[in-house]
Amino acid sequence: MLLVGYMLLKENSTTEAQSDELVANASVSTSSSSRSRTRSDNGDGGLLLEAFLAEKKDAADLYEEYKKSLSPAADKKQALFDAMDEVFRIVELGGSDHKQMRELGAVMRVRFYQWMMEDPLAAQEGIKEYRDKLDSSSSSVREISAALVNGYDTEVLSDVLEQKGLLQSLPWLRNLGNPQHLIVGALASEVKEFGGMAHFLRVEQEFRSSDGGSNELMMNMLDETGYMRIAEGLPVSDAQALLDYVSSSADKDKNRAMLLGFATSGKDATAWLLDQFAKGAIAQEYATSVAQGLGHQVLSFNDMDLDMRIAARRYTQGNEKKDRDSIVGELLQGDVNAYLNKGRDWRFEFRHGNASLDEITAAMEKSLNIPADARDAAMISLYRNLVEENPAKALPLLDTLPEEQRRGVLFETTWHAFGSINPNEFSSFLQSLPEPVTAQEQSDRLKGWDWQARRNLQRYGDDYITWAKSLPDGPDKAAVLNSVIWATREINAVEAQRLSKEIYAK
Amino acid sequence: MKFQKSHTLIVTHVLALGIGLLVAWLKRSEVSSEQTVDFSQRSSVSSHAQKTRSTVAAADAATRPLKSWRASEYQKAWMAVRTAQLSTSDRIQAQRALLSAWAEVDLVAALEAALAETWDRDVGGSYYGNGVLLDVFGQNFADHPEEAWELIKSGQFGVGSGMLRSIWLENVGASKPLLVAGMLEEFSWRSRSDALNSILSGGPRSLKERDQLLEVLANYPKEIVPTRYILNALSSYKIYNKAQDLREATANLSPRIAEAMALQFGNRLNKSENFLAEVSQLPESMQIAALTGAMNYVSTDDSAHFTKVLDMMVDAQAWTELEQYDLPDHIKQSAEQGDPALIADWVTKLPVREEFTEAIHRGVEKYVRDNMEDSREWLAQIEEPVWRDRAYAEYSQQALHAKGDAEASRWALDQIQDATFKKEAEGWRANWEKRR
Repeated sequence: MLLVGYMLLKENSTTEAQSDELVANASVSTSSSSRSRTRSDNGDGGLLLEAFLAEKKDAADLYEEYKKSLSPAADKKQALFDAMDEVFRIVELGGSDHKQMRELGAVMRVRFYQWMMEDPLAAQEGIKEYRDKLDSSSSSVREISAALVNGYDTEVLSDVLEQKGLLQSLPWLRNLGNPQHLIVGALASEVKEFGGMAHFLRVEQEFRSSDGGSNELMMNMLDETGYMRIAEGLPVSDAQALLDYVSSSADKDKNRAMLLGFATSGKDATAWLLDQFAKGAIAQEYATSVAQGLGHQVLSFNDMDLDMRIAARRYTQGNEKKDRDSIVGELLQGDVNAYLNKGRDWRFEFRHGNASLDEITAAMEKSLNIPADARDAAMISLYRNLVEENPAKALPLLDTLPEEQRRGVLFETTWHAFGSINPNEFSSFLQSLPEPVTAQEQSDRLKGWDWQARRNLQRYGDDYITWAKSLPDGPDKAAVLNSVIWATREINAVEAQRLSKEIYAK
Repeated sequence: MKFQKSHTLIVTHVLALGIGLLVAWLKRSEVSSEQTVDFSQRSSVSSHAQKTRSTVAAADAATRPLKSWRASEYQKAWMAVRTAQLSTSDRIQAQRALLSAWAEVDLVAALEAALAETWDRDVGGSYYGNGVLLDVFGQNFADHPEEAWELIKSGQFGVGSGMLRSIWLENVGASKPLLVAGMLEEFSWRSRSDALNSILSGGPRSLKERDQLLEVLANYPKEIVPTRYILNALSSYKIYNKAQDLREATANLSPRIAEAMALQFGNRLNKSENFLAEVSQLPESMQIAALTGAMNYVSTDDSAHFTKVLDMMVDAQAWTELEQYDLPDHIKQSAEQGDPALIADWVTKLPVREEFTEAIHRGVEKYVRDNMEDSREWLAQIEEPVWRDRAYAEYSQQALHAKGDAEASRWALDQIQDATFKKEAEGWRANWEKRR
């Protein structure tokens, strides 16, 4: 109720805009099949929004802008040194003008980029030379130049790397303090964009020969996360080549990482690997952990064969003997969340009354593969997402459930949803629940306060306590105050005791 | 472009680790522009203009530069987002851009609009921070800290004020550290560490500002500014290797700065050969700090050096510091990895104080366990009767638990002089017998 009141206040204070919205909403209802809106749909606001976004785009990225507008100087060393001098002059003065700093910083980075593009080794040497001349008291200045030379300024360096390609960049990459992220990023991108497994093998070979056969660069630079990222870019057509590669490698951590990375690339890759696992084609020593990984991976693929997903889920720990219904429920919950996170902005539209429950449900059922026996699970999951936006309007999603189950879902929603939601909205949701009858319902209804206590105290601090004290007397107020005391005690026993005395002193 | 994007993500990741805070500061606009929507792609808001009567006024505003927009125009554009049918991430970015500009002309209206949206991320994930919109106000708060603070503490934003406060602390602490440092007592204990972390993690500072900041922080009591923050503020200062230099450098500084510098001195120099000689040249108040600093870093493997540092703490009667140090655990480590006989000897010469009781047992156990026969003579020579009784009791424990030798245990228990304590030690043996 509090939320609704607040929203009404907001709406009343913006009557002009609200009338625009009503006009726009009217047009939604008559043309819901169309995704394109015109300015007149949105009225004045639409025109303003369009102008605003257009102007913001123009001012997007200074570094990118200067890269286009600043012509490379004939003497790139001098141009960079001049730019650094300017930055450092402002830094030493205290650097309070952020706009000026951003502009000067962007010029400096573009000058660095231009020199790196022409002669990377000379540019790196030049930065060192500049740094060595600095006064030892200029620690901040030294750090900025160190960031350039050591490669922490990865945006400029990845720009250069993208232009030159990984294999041509090895000499200057070796000069960086920590080129791991750059190498992984470049290799993953090149494998995905054009090279596939063959390119990976070529790069590995090049690393090995440039290290005199030891391949230290690759081993030091690539950890499991790196191998996963690289393998994620492999095309499905390289599946057998990947399996051949890992079969001939003794590094089981790398092998497992590459197989699992490949699985994240899509359902076809995952399905192929599941098949290989079933055939026993994956080396025994890490087959189980790969299968577990695949079992997690199938959560992402709603369009995969359901039986295959269920079988894969049973490879994961704790799910080996889980019944089909539970697994289907778990899969659908993930599917619904993923569906809401891409495509239309359903949660936002529902919150503001611009998408109806029927519209969302119909679109979701059209888009997701929902088996008949999983429909309830899908609707419960959708409910738990939309209840945070509008509890009353989300309620019909539970209409098809048997009454006992429906009540169970309602009361359990106090901790299955509402994480990081405005406490006023949570409180409002609680008031909308039916009167709890059983002991279980009574306990479930209050459980959310405990579940939220740590996070809310961390997020709202003392304002959460002030807010809790302002609630009307009753079980909710008692529960939330009790929860802030125990959650405080976990981090500061003395303050918890003080709080307890303050709250319970009458 | 995909390549570029993935690297930009790494940029933010690496910077978040603090390696390149300065670059982050330089790149503030670039990092945030990573989230900028490619607005030219938005078919939903781009269309042919309809010059109807109702849009004439808006068309006029739309052709004016944004800096001349009025609050009501931002409000209209804000409401239009609701029906613009952007994707979630594009909508959020459009809202962020609007809020940031709107805040410049009407901060209260912009804050209210942002707080009326959902407070979670709207896109899943487990870490929610302060939602997806509010942190755009950071720049405004940094530009107008006092006005923003008055608004935040007025309570008009209800429970959401907590999120605004943390954004204010993060941004103003970094850009105006002296202002925030002067307000530490105004914050609740819950916010103070956020404030201190923010103050100390800001971008480049002038030397003058750095000095002023240190002084302001050091003027607070330890309850407000714990010593670790003073040490953090000192991290970019010159390092002294000689007690004489440190004395001179700290002569005119506040006692807390001198103490923290002495702690640093001990942290760094505890291994040097003449460390103890150097420490003895410091004023007494700084000696304890330097030794505390040494204790935190000294290797327990070198039992001789370790106990020399401890000796100076005992001589200085630094009981509080010794208690905070977890002496029993360190003594046990030194006995196990260093010289057990030396440690056993050293602990039993400690003054009789309750806080050393546990350390006696942990210091003696290894030596007696490894020398059940030879240690008997040593035990008898312990001068301090309270500790001697304790050592016999520990001998009994080791005999029982490590060797299963009830006879040796009985011998040791029979040597205990204090009748009350003997009863207690007999009780320990009784427990062993029960468990057999």
